[in-house]
Amino acid sequence: MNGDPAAEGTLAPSDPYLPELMEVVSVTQQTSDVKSVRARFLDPDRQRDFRFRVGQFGIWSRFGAGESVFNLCGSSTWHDRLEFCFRRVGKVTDAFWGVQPGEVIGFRGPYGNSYPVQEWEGRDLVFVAGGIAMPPVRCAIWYCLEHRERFGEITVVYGARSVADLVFADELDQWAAHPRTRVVKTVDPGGRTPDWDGLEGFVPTVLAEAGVGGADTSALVVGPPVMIKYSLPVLMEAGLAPNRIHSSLENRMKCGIGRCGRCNVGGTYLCKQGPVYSFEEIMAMPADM
Amino acid sequence: MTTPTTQQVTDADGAAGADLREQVLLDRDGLVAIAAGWLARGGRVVGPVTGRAVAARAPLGPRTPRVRFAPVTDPELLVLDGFVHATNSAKPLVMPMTEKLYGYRREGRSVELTPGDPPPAPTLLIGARPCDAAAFPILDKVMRWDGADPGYERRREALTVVTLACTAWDEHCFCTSVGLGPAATRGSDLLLTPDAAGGWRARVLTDRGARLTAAASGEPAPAVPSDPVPSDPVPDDAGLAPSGPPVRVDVAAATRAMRASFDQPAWAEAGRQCTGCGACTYTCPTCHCFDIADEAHGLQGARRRNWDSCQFASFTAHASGHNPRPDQASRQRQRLRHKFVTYPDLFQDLLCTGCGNCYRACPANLGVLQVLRALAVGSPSGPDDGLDDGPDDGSADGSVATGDAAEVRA
Ligand SMILES: Cc1cc2nc3c(=O)[nH]c(=O)nc-3n(C[C@H](O)[C@H](O)[C@H](O)COP(=O)(O)OP(=O)(O)OC[C@H]3O[C@@H](n4cnc5c(N)ncnc54)[C@H](O)[C@@H]3O)c2cc1C
Ligand code: SF4
Ligand code: SF4
Ligand code: FES
Repeated sequence: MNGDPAAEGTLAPSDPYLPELMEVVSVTQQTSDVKSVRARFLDPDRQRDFRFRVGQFGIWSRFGAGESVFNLCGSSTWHDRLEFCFRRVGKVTDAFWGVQPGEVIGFRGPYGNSYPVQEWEGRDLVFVAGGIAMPPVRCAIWYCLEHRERFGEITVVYGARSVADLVFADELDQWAAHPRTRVVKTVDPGGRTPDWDGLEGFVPTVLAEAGVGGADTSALVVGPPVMIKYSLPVLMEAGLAPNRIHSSLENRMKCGIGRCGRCNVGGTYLCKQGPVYSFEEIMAMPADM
Repeated sequence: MTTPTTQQVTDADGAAGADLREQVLLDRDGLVAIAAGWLARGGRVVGPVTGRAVAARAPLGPRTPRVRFAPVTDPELLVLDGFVHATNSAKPLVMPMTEKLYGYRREGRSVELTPGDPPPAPTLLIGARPCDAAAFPILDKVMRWDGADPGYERRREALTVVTLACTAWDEHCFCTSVGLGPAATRGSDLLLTPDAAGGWRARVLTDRGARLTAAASGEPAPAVPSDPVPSDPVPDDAGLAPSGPPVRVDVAAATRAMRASFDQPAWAEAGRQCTGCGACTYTCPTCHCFDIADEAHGLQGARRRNWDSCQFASFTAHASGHNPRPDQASRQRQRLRHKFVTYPDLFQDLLCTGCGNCYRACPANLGVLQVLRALAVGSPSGPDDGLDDGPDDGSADGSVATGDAAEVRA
């Protein structure tokens, strides 16, 4: 039951599925299977006027392969480009692996809610990330460092399986150079190299020894489920209430606008009502994750 | 082509000037003429047809003919009586199985986007059942959630729905358990209820319906307020309606159970029975979950929206291998909760019209009705009393045992 083949279709700019075209500015290989990409809208006015909030995501197109959901991993204060960082795991990310500067890709978004940066003002902050989960945390770190005066002590705890698995490793020292900012980097036991100047140990252990906490502290924790499972009690013992600890959830998504019906956890649509939730909300979610 | 016989009749209460409540007498020839006129003006007509190209007026045997909604070029082939429900749904008219959202052409490093599917020809659906028609306003709520969906909207705007009130139902029908019924008007532009002379009384419900009957009678369309996209709620005309299937399940009790606890013994039970084929979702008029995928041909291709199904493992499987809904039990839970908890919370409505297609299509003899029943039995306060779960009173050959309906058909 298809349409009248004689009639002409249109490209409606209001079509929520229609991507905007972007040019890849640069590509950086972060690890053996992770790359980060900088891109800007072909339309310079759009690039100048585009706004998003840290914690939101985009749906990125590699034409011929499909779309994939990646966090906007740059700060919302960077107006000359958008950044995303991806791990090569399947069809679309395989196709993105070969993307070259100058090539045109697609973007739709920004989608989703965002980190509670206003609620964080005046508070000490702890950012906890594991492995490839650094991109969604990185945007918040840069945002807070660029508004340094609004926040208390900042502690970043970042762990990966091995030194070679650290993403944005070159930025860790830049963050640590900011006032009242500490970066604790660690690799899993056995993951160090001879010249490694960080710690060796699992994230929850390192986090417990970092001496963070107190009722005036908020945290953002993103990483593999096992890291979250053991980091959460550490933070709660350090005096953080579950509604002061946030995370960014991932579910398979296609539309990003609440229609394709697949990203929900119980009754909440991650693409519209998420992906950012406090652990108070996450703990109340049904076993649908 | 026979000249359609239309005739103004007054409403039962004699109300004058109620354009939208106007009733017109229509017989099969009249309806076929409406369809023929529609085709002649370049439109598309879709309705129930049998697999074999039998003349639809041939006497129907004792068995219900199996019909499917399909486009027709000869409206004489439309089956307008005797069937209970089409084996497919009319959903493809607004959500095709596959749809080109847009195309792309790659040249060197650049990309050009090209238009997707052209807008559909004006489409006349003749022979929807009330449970088919009601699905359109139900789908509207999702597809218009927070902004339009242009492809859907174009097809929706091209659609006029002529519904045949039911005079027969089978054991799978449960419209009366979800607030609909055999002459429910929801989503229809014209509702045809059988009349004494073997034709129908046509209830004009929207100005689209009015234009249809006006065109049939050769009169200019009555001046009614512009209502470009048909929507609810014109009250059902209970006086004309046959009684419909008995209330087969206490949906409120089943919903109470789902709300009381995420875990239900019914999920494991349904999960054991279900083979995960997805037929229920594909034949359902309200299921709308989709996938977006690329279809590449060298340097150009299409980005397509395709039907998907919550009953497939791949629907939610993460690239990492983790799957939030790892088994059929959790996928049955998703389907039932989406229809009776999640969607109602968002849109104050049910995502089910009780058409029974999920049951008819299921190779494992499972359907939403069975799962709802199992849930209602386990409900905190049990199913309501007075539930008529007896044998069907509608028979497949179109004869009707109930008083109201018998009057209509006498
Ligand atoms: C909110 C959110 C944020 C995220 N942020 C990031 C991030 O910053 N970085 C990151 O690396 N990841 C992120 N992810 C995860 C990321 O979206 C997935 O890892 C990625 O989309 C995997 O895509 P893939 O195509 O490579 O994998 P695949 O699983 O191979 O998917 C293949 C693609 O082809 C399609 N496909 C597969 N099989 C078939 C078939 N049989 N027929 C037709 N089509 C098929 C699929 O629909 C899919 O589009 C995020 C996810 C979410 C939800
Ligand atoms: S769930 Fe079953 S009964 Fe309800 S609308 Fe869909 S196919 Fe019909
Ligand atoms: S039709 Fe039946 S077997 Fe197939 S997915 Fe639906 S419930 Fe399961
Ligand atoms: S991604 Fe489609 S509903 Fe959330």
